[in-house]
Amino acid sequence: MTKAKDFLAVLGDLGGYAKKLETYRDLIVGNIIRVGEESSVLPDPPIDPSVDPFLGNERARAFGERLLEIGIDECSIDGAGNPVGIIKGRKASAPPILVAAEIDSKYQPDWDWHYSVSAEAIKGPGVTDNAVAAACLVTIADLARLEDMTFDSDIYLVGFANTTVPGNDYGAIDRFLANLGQKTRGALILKGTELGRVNYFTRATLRATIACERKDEEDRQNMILVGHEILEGLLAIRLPQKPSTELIVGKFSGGAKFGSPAECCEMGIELRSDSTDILDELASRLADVVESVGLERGVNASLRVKSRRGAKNIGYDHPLTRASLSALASLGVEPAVSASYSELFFFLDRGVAAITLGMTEGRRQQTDEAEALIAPLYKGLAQIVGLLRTMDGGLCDA
Amino acid sequence: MPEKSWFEGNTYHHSTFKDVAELVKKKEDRGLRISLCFPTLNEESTIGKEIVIARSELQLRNHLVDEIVVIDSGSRDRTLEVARSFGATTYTAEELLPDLPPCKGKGENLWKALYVLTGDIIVYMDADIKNIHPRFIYGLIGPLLLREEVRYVKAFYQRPIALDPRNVLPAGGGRVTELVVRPLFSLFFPDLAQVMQPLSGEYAAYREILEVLPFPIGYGVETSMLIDIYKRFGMEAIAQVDLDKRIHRNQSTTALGRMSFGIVKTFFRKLSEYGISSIELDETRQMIQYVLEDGGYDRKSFPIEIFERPPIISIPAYRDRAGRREGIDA
Repeated sequence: MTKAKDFLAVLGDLGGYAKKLETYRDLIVGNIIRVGEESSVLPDPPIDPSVDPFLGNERARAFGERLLEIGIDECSIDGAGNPVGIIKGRKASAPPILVAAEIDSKYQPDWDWHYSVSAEAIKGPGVTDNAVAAACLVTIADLARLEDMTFDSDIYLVGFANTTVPGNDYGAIDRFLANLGQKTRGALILKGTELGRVNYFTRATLRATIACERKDEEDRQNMILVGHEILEGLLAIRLPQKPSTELIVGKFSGGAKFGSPAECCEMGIELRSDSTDILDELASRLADVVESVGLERGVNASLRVKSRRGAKNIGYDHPLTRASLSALASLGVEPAVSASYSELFFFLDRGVAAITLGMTEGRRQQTDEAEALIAPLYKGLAQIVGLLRTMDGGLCDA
Repeated sequence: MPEKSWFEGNTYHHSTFKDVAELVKKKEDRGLRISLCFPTLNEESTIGKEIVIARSELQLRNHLVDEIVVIDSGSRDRTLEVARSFGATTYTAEELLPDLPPCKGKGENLWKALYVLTGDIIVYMDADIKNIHPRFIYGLIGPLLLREEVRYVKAFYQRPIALDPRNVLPAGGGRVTELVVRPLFSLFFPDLAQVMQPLSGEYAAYREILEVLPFPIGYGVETSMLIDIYKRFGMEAIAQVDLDKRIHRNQSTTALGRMSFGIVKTFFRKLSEYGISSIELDETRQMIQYVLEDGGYDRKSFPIEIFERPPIISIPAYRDRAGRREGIDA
């Protein structure tokens, strides 16, 4: 605790720095437009990486080109299509610090969208998730150049691309970390919204689809009803209050028309728990329910696990957590601590001290009218630069 | 080896000029200033983005553009407020050269802009572009800086039209060009038929060219300017640049009809002025259109007047200001 406080004292007035960042408004907004207006949807059929290392992801390409335009010391792309820029540090012996963001947008309409800009906000599909965070990575490179900002460590600005590809489910992130091949001094993970967000722990999560289909054409059973029976079985499983555990049925679809019994159905579920052991135990009971209903009804019922992540936590007392909360306090931002269900797990699972932070305030997310407010961005960026400096000073080195 | 045609030699793609640092060097070596001007009328939804992209990419990141100025025709929305909030200098057309009788129209904004802009190169950019990109600006400036003989550069694009945000047609822009202007050019100025989009609202030129041209105030300003530059300076002074896709608002066919009326009037004036044809126009004639209203056709007449501002170099106040500017530069 004391250590984090000391580092922030060395850093000085974060609020004043946020105020100073207002002078860079046009660069920041320009970065959001230039990066965010490019599509992150991959072409179908896929492009071979030997033909295009960006795999046709135009946002990843724009992100990489932007870093090159700024004149970042090094810029490369890994085998999974993740563009990475490096601000070279003064000490070759110092391990790098990672600043990472998913650069794709999960919500992307299939029409040719463009952002609009007012004095208060940038509006358009995907701007909050996660174009703003991608642009903030680019802006850090800008700030390093404009302010002659130097670090002991190399600062890796990592854009995680193609995370929305079905079946990928953040595999590209794990692959990047696996191939990094060196110890790091910690990582900051940027999310577009909401400023004040602090994720320093993850919950054990299992995502799965359950599908039911008839075994033969003679069968007239309604698969929606069979699916419903499975659902009842799942909901009958007793979930512990401690460790906190929940089952979410997020999707259910099936059938073709009003007057015909459904030939198939599919549901998407997510099981969350504070305990990895509980998650694994419940996962096996979920599989039993699906298998038993399938056997008893004489249909093909399958459970396919899409992803499984464990519960990880760097802890409230970790210097990075403490420093992040202190940075927000000094900026007058109320922290909103919650569990992460996305990238953070892969960092913590590989022993990288990491935390997820929000960059600005947003409205109408996951819609065509999504809005990212401009004014809170200065505080969002100030917290990141402040934490980078403290990490470079050894915050997480103990 | 056969000589290149004008089209082959003077038509570029914007990517030819993407090395903005090289353009900045050329500009600085030649001691030039570049002004970017947006003529506006109720453009609050797009003007902020156009300015912020120009400022961030071509003023802050690369010092290509020296000033960004908005000249407004009397917007009733927040166009000027938004433009100022993003750092543009703003004027209303009526506050400039107030001793002259007032006129209203895009040509008036472009003409009066010359009075306040300080650049040697002027870039005019329509303010309704939804997919603004720095290429729109550096693409137009490139030929002026890299080729001595080129004095005027015109944009052309693929022109999808946005019926609404979800409904963008892949083609359909440039209807007036293909149905009115290109046939007229083909008949009377075949060289100009090589200009892909003579009506595009994005072009750049040296001040010395613009200040000696008359400016029609209404629809005909682009056509008039092109004919005058061609007749006075020749095709080699003109270049055109493919700026790829530009998304803009759709206009109704009746609105395009009125635009065509104005362009044809301007065109016939030019034919007469250059002694090519002496069609006597009755200036009182109006554009007649029939509009379906309440189950019946309603006849409407539109008095589309073509008022023309003289070359601004002929205005004493401009010459005084230009003299002061040169004095300061010296």
